[in-house]
Amino acid sequence: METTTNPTASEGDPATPVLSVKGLSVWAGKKAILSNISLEFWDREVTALIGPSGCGKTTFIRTLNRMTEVSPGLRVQGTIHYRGQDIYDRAVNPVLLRQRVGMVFQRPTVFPMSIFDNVAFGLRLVRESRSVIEERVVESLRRAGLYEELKDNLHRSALTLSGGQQQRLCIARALAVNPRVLLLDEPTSSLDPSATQKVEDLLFELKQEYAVIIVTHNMQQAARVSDRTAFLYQGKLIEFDETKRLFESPREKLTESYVTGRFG
Amino acid sequence: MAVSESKAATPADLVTYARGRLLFRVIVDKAMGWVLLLAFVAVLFPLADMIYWISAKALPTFSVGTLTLDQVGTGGGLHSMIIGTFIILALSTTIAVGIGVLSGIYTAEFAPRRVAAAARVAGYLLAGVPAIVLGYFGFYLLVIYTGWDYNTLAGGITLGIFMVPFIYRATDLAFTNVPRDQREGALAMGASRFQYLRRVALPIAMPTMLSGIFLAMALGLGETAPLVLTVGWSNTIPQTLLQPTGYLTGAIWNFYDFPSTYGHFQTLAFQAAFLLIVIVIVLNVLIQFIAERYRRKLRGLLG
Repeated sequence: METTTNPTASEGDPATPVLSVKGLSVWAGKKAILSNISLEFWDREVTALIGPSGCGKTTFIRTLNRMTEVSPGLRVQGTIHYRGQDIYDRAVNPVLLRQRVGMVFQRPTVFPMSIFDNVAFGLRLVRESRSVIEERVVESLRRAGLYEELKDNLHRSALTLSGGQQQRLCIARALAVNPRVLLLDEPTSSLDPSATQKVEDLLFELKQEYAVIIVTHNMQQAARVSDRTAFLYQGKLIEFDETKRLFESPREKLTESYVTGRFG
Repeated sequence: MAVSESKAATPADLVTYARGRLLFRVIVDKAMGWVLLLAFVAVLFPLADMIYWISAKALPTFSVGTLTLDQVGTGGGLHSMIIGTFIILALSTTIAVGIGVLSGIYTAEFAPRRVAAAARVAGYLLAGVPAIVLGYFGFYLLVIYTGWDYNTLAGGITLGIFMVPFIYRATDLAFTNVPRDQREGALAMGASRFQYLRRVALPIAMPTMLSGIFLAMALGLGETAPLVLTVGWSNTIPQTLLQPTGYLTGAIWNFYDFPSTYGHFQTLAFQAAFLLIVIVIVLNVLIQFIAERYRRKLRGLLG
């Protein structure tokens, strides 16, 4: 990623997608949840995954950091490369992968410990020194737009925070371990409109440095925050394009019906 | 005035009505309150009476010597039995916590669904084995078969087996109840399963687990049958774990039928009973205290 001098490179570096998915299928027993999906994700872009409930978008995002392995009974076929490395290769340590490809869930998953300890969680897993931890916690909270709100209460229980703050804390926690990619699985679906607004604003900040992949059932949100959008339907990738194009002049009939609200 | 007079007539109608069905309802309502109160008293009274009775018998002769002197001849105190009780309880708790916590975590976190279901049934069965049967098993295996004769270690192990299912069930429940989100959140941070268990699940499961451990200790403390058949009896503190020892429930068992005119054996039995009740109450207060403290800490997570 030699694009540091060009922070507005929203097209990314065409030669090296940060994640590249080829022929991905996921099976639960004999049922195909995802079939033959190929697409690429670029650094410093927000990619939205849209589609009706049950289309496989959550399963898809979970394949990207091998979280599918946490739920038993799922079989993954095809390849996913993270900067050229096949992440399903035996040699890849899923722990290290998940630190590079961080994930935030639908409902905030703060741990029952202090705000500071929540953000420090991933750093302590890799035994960072105390001074590094302190520095990174503050920096991550600042990036997640929480530092000013919470700086006097860092040792308060994170469970006392509001839902919106908890979700941004989860983002800060993922940022602390220095990821390249952030996977957000419907991060605002449990939040009220003003908290949603804050998270969306945050996405614009984050894409200056990270590749952001967001699953959303809210098409307006996809249109607002993303550079590219992938539309999934019944486990298949129907269309993948720049967001503006996909919403304004979709090539597929199915996409058009969905984005104009005719089903879903 | 005319208006207020007509209003005043209305409550009178209601009073008249209360003589019919409403009166019946009022009576049932009151009666039910009394019956429930009576049931409550029926539970509380024996407990209060028992504590009073035992205290009345134990306290007048209770002295420092009761705690510090070994029982010698027809005199002395409970010293060696108190120490014996704590040695046995320490042994059995160590064994039961080790086995119960590890197998509980295995059942909740690692076991395939069918194995977990079978393990839970086995846990219930073990909890249902009568203590005297367990004692007989301990006697046969640890006293006779090993050739150790009556000894403290055999009692500790047998009592430990008695305590395992309570700790096992509490641990299984505690880890099963950790919200799924927490696991996903931790694994998505790159935590290994072990790191998730230690740093996230354990603190959440701790209060339920500790309650189970203290409950098992309180129950184990009061058990007599597994010990009578395995530990034997001694008036002095055992020099090794393979010697017999005295213990508080054994003091009651051995001394309760001595004539009250012969030595102070009956008094010792009452003092042992008194100490047991005090220790059990302390353990229960501890359980409540821990539960309350953690409930506050985890508010908002477990609902």
